[in-house]
Amino acid sequence: MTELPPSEPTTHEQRLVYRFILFMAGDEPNSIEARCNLEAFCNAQLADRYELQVVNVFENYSMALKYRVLVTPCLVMLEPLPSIMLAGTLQNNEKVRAALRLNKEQPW
Amino acid sequence: MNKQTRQVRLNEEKTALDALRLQEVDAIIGNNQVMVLRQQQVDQALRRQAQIIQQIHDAVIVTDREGKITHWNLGATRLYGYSAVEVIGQHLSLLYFDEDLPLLYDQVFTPLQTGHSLEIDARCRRKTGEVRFIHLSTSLLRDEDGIACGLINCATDITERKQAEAERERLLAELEHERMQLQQLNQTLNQQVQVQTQQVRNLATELSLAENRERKRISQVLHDHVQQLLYGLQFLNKSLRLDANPGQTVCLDQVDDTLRQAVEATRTLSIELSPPILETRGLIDGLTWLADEMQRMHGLQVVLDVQEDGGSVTKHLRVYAFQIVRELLFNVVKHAQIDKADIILRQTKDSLFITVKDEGQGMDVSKLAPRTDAATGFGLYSVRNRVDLFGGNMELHSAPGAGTQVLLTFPLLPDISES
Repeated sequence: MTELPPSEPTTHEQRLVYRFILFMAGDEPNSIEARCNLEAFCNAQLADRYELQVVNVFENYSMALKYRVLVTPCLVMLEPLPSIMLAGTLQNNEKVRAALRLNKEQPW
Repeated sequence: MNKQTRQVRLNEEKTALDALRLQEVDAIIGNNQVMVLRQQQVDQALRRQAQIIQQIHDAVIVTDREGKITHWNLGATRLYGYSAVEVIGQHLSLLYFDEDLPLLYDQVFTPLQTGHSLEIDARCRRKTGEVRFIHLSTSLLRDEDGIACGLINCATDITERKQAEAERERLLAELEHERMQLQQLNQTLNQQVQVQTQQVRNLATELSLAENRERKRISQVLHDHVQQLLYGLQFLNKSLRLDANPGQTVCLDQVDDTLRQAVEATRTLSIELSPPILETRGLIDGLTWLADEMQRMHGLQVVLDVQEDGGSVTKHLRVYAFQIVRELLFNVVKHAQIDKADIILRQTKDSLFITVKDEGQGMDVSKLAPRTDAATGFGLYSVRNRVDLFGGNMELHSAPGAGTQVLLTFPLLPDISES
């Protein structure tokens, strides 16, 4: 498959689907906050172009090890590649956008 | 691990460290377990508890061991008027009036040292200087090792309740005062009534005494004077007859007859007015004589039933009782249409009971009108009146065809007015 040349950012972005896993430590406050912030962010910035899986590390510890999660709350973006990891409450919008490579200046 | 992988790993570690530094981390994923960072939980719990205390309606004030204020909730601000900033570090005595402090030390702060908690009602002072009343609940604040490190004061404003209570006390006191005044007034009036009643009794006694003296006097005049004159005339008459001719004798007989009637009339009147037997012998003998007189003069058989058991009847009660019984017997003669009557007398240490009864035609008691009987100056109404004034009682029982009973009761008092 040949890579398509980068087209207009809006169109390009419109085609991308994001897959996330959010690792939470049960009902701990920061984890809850991270989830709220993430959902708000996705609804505002990604519309319906995302999929989110929530993992409770107390229940699914092995998955945390598999993805080499170090702390909770922690967001793992599986797609688009390359995958990234972002720990914390996700309250800083700009930091999240940067991590998800949503800013226009981000090199592809 | 190749360079790219290492770089990725470094990035992952960096994000974790950043999040840790920002305190946005709940837990660390270890090799074997999840290690939860509890501090935040504790902080949050503390925050929540602080909120609760802050929002309690009552004043919650915490001090250190010296009494300096360390915590001050919204309720305290509401009650005392100071904001937290204004009072933290100040001494608790700021909230009380100087004159109340010794009491508080005695009843609250000192006992607390022995480890009790206490509740009292106390007076306190707002920032404005205004007086409030509080229900104060105080206990020791202990640290984790159980050592007392301060005081917890919880105060509820009860000023309104105290005011209502004070008002109630005041009203009750007023009421009591008025009640006592009324009681005194009542007593005074009662005393006055008693005095006046006694005065009336005294007057009645005086009146009856005077009446009897007068009767006695008239009786004496009749006996000593008028009767003697009549006897004199009788004697003269006898003398005249010695020398009289038949025509004159007839006339003299008439004179003699008239004189006899006059003597009889004066004698009867005299005795009626003041039966001598009462003076010399006493009531029972007087009544015995009266019974005989009734039989003799009016054909009324009077049966006497007497029982004496101590006590003594004063002279003017004696006379009066006699006159009342005589009046009642006259009523039997006049109205009962029967020729027999009974007198029952019982005398104890304290009372005299006399009953006059007959089995004659009786009367309708409801139809009795107050009248005075012109002949003797009595009449039932007057009898009852004077019985009352002697402190006695009269009961009248009668019905048409069922006879009549009159029951008299007199208290026997020591005679203080004998004169």
